[in-house]
Amino acid sequence: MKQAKLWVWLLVLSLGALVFWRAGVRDFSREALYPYENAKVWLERTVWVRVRAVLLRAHHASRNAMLERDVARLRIAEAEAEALAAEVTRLRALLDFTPPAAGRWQAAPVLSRGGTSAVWQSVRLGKGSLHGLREGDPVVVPEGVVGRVADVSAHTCEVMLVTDPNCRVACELETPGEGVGTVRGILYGGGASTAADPTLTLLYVVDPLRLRYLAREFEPAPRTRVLTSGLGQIFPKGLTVGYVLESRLEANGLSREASVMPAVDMAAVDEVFVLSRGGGRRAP
Amino acid sequence: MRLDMHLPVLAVTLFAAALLQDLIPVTPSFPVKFVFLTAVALHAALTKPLPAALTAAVWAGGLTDALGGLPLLCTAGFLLVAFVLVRLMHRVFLEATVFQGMLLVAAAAVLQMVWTRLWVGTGQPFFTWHTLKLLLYAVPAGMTAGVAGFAICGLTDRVSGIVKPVKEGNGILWAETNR
Repeated sequence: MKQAKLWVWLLVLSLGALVFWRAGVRDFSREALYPYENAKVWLERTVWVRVRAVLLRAHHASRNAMLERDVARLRIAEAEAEALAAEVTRLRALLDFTPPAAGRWQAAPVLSRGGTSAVWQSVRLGKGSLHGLREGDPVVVPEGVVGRVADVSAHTCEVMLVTDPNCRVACELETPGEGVGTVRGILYGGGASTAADPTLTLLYVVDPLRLRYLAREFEPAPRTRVLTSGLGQIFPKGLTVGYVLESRLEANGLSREASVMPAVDMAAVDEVFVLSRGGGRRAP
Repeated sequence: MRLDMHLPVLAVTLFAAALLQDLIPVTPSFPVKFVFLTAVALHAALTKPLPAALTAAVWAGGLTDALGGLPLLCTAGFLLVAFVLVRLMHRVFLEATVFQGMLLVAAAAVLQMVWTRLWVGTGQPFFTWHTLKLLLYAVPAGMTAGVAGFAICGLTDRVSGIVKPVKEGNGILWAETNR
């Protein structure tokens, strides 16, 4: 009887927590799993890397040489970028331009993809509010934009990917051409094919992103690079989002819509960089 | 007071199920999650006393929603409804065997996906080929989770002493749940 009473109390407390303490339940669940997910990342980085090194020994010499060349090239590029950044800062001060919001890049490992439901296109990172991350911080990799931070706990954060249907990014096309000016639009996540499309494929295909509200007169060429425009104050200007596949007039005929293939393979992302307003390497 | 082994057993199995369900990623070739938490909740519905089984359903649903970014009564509500249906079926034919668990969790995975997408409304039309594809993938995911969930939950019940084999007069051992 006493045990039945204990269970009834546990049930009532659990329901009460779900109804009245939602944020606490979310944070508690993520923090409870964080040490084990972090241990998995540590095992992959230390043990599995060494096992793979033994198994793939033949490929390491050429790969090391290639990586050393890349590092040397990137060091030169970084030195040039630092010089350019100093010149930009000096010119901004001379022209009395408002400087961009300060930010620092922080590397973060990907702990899990999709959570426990896989309803949203999201990943969980192994850094949180204790590392200076906040909701809305942009998340990128060298290839391009990954998404933005949607929810933060002490040691983890949830990132909404740009492929999520609810994600919106202010974008522009790269160098559209002489006399055209800047062509801007809003990028929508891909999501599912509509009911009007009768094609059924059992093989999973990444749905293209949709760049909407483009100027109707301008038809972008395939493979035109899509960049963040910096409007909306979330993503810095000039980050690669994807590449145009094709475009068509929208149903209302007032603007044009382009299909965009994301630049980043979201399934292959293991480590990302988060632009936070405190901590890490300073953003350009 | 004798320690109720249901509590630590449920806590450990639900935690392990949440960890597995969270860590095993969706891939382009298999874009659905294995519903280990649902399997543990349905096994508890078949084998545990009423208040313990209800609590397991609420915990499993809460963990699924908290770690999956869903509204926090979405999956808990589904599992409570599933609990009632499973108990009714248990009176007629359903048992906590691995094979029946596999079929039960496969069906539950499909219904859970429908329930979740209708509750949440992902901003996309529901009746699409994409949704049908996801429901087809949910069947093998549910079967795998059912086999693993029911097998491991049965093993933990035996190891913890909740389920004890009873020797019949004719020498055949039958497991009898301690309800």
